[in-house]
Amino acid sequence: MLLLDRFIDLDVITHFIFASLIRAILIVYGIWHDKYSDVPYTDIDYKVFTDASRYIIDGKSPYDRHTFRYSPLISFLLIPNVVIHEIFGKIFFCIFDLVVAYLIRCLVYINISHWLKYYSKDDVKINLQKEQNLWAQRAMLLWLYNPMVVTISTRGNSDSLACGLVILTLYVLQAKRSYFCAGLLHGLSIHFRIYPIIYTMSFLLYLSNFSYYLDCDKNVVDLTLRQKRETRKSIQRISFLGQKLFLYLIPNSHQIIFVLGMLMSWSVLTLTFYFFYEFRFLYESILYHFVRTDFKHNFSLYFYAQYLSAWMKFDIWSVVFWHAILKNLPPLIILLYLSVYFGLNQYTLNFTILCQTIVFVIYNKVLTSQYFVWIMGIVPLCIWQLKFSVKSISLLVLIWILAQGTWLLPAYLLEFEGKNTFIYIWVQSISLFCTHVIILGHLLQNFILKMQINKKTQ
Amino acid sequence: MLDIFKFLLLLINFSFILGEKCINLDINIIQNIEKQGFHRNMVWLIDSHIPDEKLWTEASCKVALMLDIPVEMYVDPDQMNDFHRIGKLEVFIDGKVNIETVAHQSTTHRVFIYLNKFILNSKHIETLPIHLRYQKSHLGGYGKVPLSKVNFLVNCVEHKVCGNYQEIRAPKKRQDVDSVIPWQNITYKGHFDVLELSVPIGNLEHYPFVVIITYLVGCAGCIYILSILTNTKNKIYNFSIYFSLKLIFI
Repeated sequence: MLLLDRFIDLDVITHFIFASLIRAILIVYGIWHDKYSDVPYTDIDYKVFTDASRYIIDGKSPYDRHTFRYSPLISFLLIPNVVIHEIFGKIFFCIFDLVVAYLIRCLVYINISHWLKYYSKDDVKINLQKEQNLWAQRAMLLWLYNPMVVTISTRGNSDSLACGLVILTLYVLQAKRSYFCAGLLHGLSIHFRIYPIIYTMSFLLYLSNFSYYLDCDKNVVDLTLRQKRETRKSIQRISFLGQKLFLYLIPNSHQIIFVLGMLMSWSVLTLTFYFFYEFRFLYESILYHFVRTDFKHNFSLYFYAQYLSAWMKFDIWSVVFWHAILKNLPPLIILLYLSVYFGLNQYTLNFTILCQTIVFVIYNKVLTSQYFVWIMGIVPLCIWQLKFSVKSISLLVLIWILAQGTWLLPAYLLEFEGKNTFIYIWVQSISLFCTHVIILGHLLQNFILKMQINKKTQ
Repeated sequence: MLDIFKFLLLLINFSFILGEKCINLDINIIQNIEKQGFHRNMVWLIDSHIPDEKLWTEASCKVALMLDIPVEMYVDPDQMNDFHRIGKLEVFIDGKVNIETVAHQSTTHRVFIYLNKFILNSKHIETLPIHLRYQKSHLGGYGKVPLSKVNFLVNCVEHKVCGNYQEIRAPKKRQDVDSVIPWQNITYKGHFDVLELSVPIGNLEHYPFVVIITYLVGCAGCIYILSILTNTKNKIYNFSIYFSLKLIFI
């Protein structure tokens, strides 16, 4: 343990050198592996990106490449893959990893500073100040040495880039308080990968005039409420269709600036690429993700039901409608509930984003390993607010690995041995989904508890 | 009439006398399948016997294999591009390939495998990766994937292969798709171990309980998460909801 503590305490530069070395070794290994093995180390998407870049160089559309369903930005970014060397993209992703790691460190440090600023008890402050650096360092290392993150980047998958953009948005929003820039970044994230759109409501609530720094003291809440009430009394009520709408439903300047930034970057990028690649760009990079139904086996809870019902002739208003409702309503309810539930609290933004990502991923109609990186990127931002013993963390990780492993076995038998194991894969998908729900439940139950325990013990 | 017949006979003999030589080819092909599951390899062992090696060299012949791919499987064009780039295999795919569609929504295509490293009077092994498509769910078990026999094509600049063979028009090489040339479809002695592949398919009898349980689990997960949020003893949630509700209903 002493050795581990000493390793954690190493300075940032040393950790960056270590992390870079690990990544460099894996990139070189990837080249060697791809040369001699039938199953390539390099992610299939990396080849897709590189081919798309090749099409761009040839003056063609990146969407001429089958299965290219991303923003053309990625194919432009990876043009050096064709012009200079194929590993350029992997090196770029790895460097971006280091930048994200540093952002995580800064953001956690600033989050704890904010917490301390509004925390009432001085003696607790001293304890936390000591831990501030340690938590920031731990958060950074959790990203930097996470095997999944390392593997994903060195295999050439761009999902760490998507995750990095979300973290960058959170950083600019919370640390820099630059709402326009945060909006621009959020728009860019949505353009790059659509899923960050689910965070929009949480961001807007965070920027609300009614958001607050919670102290676990009911009097403070009541006092704040009284102040808000007084303010509100002086505000003219607006009547619409006989309903009284309060002014707090009308966006404030920060929210407007954020939305403007978001719309600006998203629409400029979308219109620019629409101008060049027309409807095909809209369909492949945006619309396809809404109409997509993947019948091939994947981690998703819904995969087998989707496969079995794919070509059945249903009465559209009865069965199809209920299928859509039952599939989409549960995650929608949770996502909305989480936004409203945590939204106004200034301390819970990162945690809201984490929970929303988990919900979005586990309820997704298509779920592959790379989607877990979206979660992995946000976890480090919240570790200082979670109270878990080493035993319970180990247990949860073990359950997750077991659930994945037991899914992988029938999936392997189906894909590579040709055995009919659909039903077993479905059972394991359910088990994996339950595992994810349990893990989310544990996260929710253990959130912020640490601070309360600290407070109680003082 | 007799005169015309005599004239034709003379013409044939004349061309023979002029030295219109043909190449004798004796080809044996063993077609086999490697691996199981959705990703397999078609392997051909080509055993060639050409008595007149000099004539073959003079003729500057090209050799290719042609295979018709049924809707139940596909050859991945991008994988072929990669193979071509690293000099592993030169394949031209005639037809559109959508690697994501299921069997009944797909179309057939034809592949030409150019045997650039074909050596006379020796055994040549050629491997082509193929991928089986998902098939429409039925009553479980396995769906059939018919395998067609490979065609052995030869194109010679100077002479022709002896015998009357069907002519196939196909690109000269992968990079030059527009220059279509005639290829002789040579008959050969074939040995085919596998004429049909099987692929697992979903069982529609599972449909009712799979759908019901799947949606029940999805909804139960939602209820469980919401119940944790509402029942948690953690004060921050209580304050959050208290605060939010007050803001709304004040």
